[in-house]
Amino acid sequence: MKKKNLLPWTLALMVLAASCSKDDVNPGGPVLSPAQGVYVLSEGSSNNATLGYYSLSSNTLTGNFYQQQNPTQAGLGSIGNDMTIYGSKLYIVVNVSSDVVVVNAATGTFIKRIAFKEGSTNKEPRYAIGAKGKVFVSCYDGTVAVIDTTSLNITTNIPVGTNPEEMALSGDNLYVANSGGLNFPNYDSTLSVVNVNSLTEITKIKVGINPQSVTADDQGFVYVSCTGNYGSVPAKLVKVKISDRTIAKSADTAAGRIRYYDNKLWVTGGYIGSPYVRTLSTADFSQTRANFVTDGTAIAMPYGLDIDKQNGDVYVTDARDYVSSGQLLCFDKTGKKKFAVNTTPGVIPTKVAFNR
Amino acid sequence: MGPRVPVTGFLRHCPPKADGKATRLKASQKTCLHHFIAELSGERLAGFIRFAGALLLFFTFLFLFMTLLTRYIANMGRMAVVILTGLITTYASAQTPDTLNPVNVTGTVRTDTVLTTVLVQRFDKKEWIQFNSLSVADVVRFFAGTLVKDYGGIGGLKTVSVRSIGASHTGILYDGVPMSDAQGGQIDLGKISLDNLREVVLFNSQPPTLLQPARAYASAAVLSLRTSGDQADSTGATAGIRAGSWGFFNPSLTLRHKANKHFSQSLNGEWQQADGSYRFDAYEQDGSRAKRNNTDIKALRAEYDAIYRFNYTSRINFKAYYYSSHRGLPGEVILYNTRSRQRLEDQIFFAQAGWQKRIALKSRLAINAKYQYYYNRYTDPDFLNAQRFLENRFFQREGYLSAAYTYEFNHILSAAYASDFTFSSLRRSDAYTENFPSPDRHHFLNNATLKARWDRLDIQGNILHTYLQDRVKAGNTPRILRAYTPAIAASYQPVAAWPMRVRFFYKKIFRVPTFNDRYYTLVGNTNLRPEYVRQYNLGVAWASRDFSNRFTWSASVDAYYNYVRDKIVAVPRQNLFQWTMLNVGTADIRGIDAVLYGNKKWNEHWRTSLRLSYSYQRTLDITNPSSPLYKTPLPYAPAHSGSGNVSIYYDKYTLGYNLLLSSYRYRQGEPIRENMVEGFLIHDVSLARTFAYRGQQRIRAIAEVNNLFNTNYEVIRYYPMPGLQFRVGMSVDF
Repeated sequence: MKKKNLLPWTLALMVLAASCSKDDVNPGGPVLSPAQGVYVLSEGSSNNATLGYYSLSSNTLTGNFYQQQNPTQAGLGSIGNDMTIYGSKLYIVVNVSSDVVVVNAATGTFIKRIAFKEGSTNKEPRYAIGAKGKVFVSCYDGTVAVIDTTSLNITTNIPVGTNPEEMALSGDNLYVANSGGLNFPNYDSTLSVVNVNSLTEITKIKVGINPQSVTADDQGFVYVSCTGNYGSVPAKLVKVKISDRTIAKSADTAAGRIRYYDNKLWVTGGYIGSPYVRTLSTADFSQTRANFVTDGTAIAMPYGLDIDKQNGDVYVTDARDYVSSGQLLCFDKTGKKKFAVNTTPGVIPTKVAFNR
Repeated sequence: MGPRVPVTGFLRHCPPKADGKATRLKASQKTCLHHFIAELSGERLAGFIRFAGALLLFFTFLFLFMTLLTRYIANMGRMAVVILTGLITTYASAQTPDTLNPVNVTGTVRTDTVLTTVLVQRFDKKEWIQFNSLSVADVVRFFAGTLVKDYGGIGGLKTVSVRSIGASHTGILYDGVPMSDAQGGQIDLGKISLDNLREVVLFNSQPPTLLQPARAYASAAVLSLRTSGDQADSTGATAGIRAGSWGFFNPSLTLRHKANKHFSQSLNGEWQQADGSYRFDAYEQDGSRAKRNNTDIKALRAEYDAIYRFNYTSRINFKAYYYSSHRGLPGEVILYNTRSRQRLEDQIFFAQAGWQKRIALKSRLAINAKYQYYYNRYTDPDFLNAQRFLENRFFQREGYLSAAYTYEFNHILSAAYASDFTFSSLRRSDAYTENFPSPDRHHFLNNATLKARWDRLDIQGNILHTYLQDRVKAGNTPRILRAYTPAIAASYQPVAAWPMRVRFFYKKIFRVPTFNDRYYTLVGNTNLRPEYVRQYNLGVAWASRDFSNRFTWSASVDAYYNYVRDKIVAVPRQNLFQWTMLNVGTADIRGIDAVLYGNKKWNEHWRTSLRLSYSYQRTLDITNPSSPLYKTPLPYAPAHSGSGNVSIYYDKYTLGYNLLLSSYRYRQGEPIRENMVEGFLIHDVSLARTFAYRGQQRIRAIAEVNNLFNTNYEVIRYYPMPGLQFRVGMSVDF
């Protein structure tokens, strides 16, 4: 992005930042304001986790936004795995550096680097989600760490299953996919239910081997993609009924990331790899669209998948060959491309967050 | 999702094949022996018989060998006695040593390594003793066209890639017998000490000699290491000790015994240890310094050599080699995370024997046999599985037999035939043993060479046949690999009066997928094809003919083109838990290697020598026209690199100055600033002198200052290299 374009919106963001300093989040049905831009986090190969920012007003991407806003910082660290905006802050989970980097969600300026250590051992944080004035971070050491959003310290570590991955919030409960991925060949197969008020694990629901991605709908169900063991046990998609914690539906289909929007499930191809994002019926997992893209736009390796629930725009990140810079693609909900931009220097873009 | 592999740390530690492999044992040693005995059971033998056809030739040679052997049975008996009485008893007698003058450096240009059909680069002990040199890697980096991937420090992995073809394409001969690592495919040159070596030679394509194993033809380049094992032309001993920065301590001892004109033997042992925790410029903050963690190493090496010369036409040599090390794997520097606790232990044992015989005047026979055992153990006490501990234990065994035969039809035409059989197996013994394919590999190589030599023209061509079959106990069995690959080389002297040769070679060769490529748990891919490379070289070499030895020089320039296809690379699947090996790379590599050597004797006190090498290369990734990487440079391939060695000899003193340079490179990814790895220029100096002891120059002392300007640099991104360091050493000949 050219400097000329950058200045006006930076100022606008700073004004906005000043206006929303409290970390209260509307607990009711979210009334979302339109996104002004999107952050895109790239994992990187090593020590080059990258945060870029795409301005929806100027339609330009600043590839190394974090670096630009924080020239005195050395970089995000190694393997940017996930991020979430909660309140006025953006929480960036840096897996191998074992940190959560907190920046101002409006400006991208550095606030704090929270070290994720248990004694001297790295906790290896994976995913983050905000609720009830806290940010919950799943960690490979078998816990969900709770960050207090005012002190920006870890206040509690909630024990869950082995190597937890993605989490979804439904009501006052957090559904945590326990993969057991590092415990090969004895994978975990449970979903931990964690209450966000009591900060304890209430129960575990058995869903299937190696659960990884999880999403909740607004009708009392949680969906989990179970990756299987990459061999004899195939990948599965599982629908869990929250009220009685039973499996409502299970089907053998490989799903990588799963998202719920517009009464449909949006899924990427899973570990086998697929150049398509499919849409599935939530009722019986039947395929409503084999490729949600309708205008012929090709995606080499759909990796991250996020949907702007305010307008239904679907953001797909393309990891390409995993070694060169990826791509951020935005489609409207009918599958027509709105824009596509290289995430240079970001390698393996994985997550999009909306700056509203 | 992070790039994590559940089974082992290897992909996490960047240098895939090697870092994650583990090393050494103690209590488990017994178990291993049991495994080995089980291995030799009839089941495996039955498998061999199916290849009887190819073995037939082999048995013929063996038979011949045995027949001839019986003729020398009396000698053999004597030899056995000598071995049994052993070295110690003979040492007690303390025989008078022959003249050994360590400063007697002749430094002449060797036309046999200059005016060759392929580029041959060579260093001998007298030369590298002035470098900052501990392992073979430290010598090889001074050769033109080489890239030593050095992960830093004494214990850091070091592999050599020649002309950017990739380290797995470099074959290594140890006293003429191939060294191999069927698991990872790349030998860590950092583990091969220089202490017992006398010569390191790098051949592009292949050595032009005729009498050699078929495996010598099966790589894109060959690094030949010659030990001093067959140099025991006197009885005596050499004791050495070196010490230096970061806790480096390295004593060594060589015992040499010459029993009579037939039999000699030697024993060489060495201990190396270092804490290696050097400082480097911290990545997180400008101006601050950080320290490498978990860099300690302890290594023991012992080598026994025996040689028996029946007469001028026949000899047998035997070598036993043992290496054991225990080291920390510091891994790459991770921003904001200094924790590093992975360890590697390894243990290598091999025994090899060779028999060379001249039959009549026109033919020669060489038979080599080898057994190799390799154990490695990798541990990660921070691994977040249920046990909070990751352990990988691998056992590799290899049996090798080779027969080579040459025949001279007349003074122009000669031919050679070589047949090799290698059996390798990989086993693991850890929590992941279940469903491990436990592969066995039968690898046959047959090579026929024809060589014609006129006064001014040499032409040599060969064709190599490969037959490779893997058997597995679980999972898919890969297809049998059969291939014919040719090579041709020629050199021509255009003007009879000029000591100059124009040369050309072409070679097509491949590397076979390693055990890791095919069977690495969850990662390996049994459908891999071999990775092919085609090499073309055109060069010119000049060697001066001043036999007075006052001033000699040589120079060569070679231009080359390499085309690599079906490169085997690790590619993550959708979720980075899951990587897989695929044949996805194509590379176009063009370059120039230039080498200049000069040696001038000024008077009886002063002598100087100079060696310069320069390489230019232009490497292009031409895998996928729609990729952002299309037509970008290959990772870590610099456009310009070079080295220089200057030695000044004055009576008992030798001053050495060495320099190594590389232009900037890019790590994997696009050629953008974020991926750039800066170039470097490193200077080392050394001063050596010899002292008299009991009437002769038997004591040699050396002081080295390496990385003179304390340059902070990287060969591989985020693996900082050591800065300024000091080392002193002394050796005494008895």
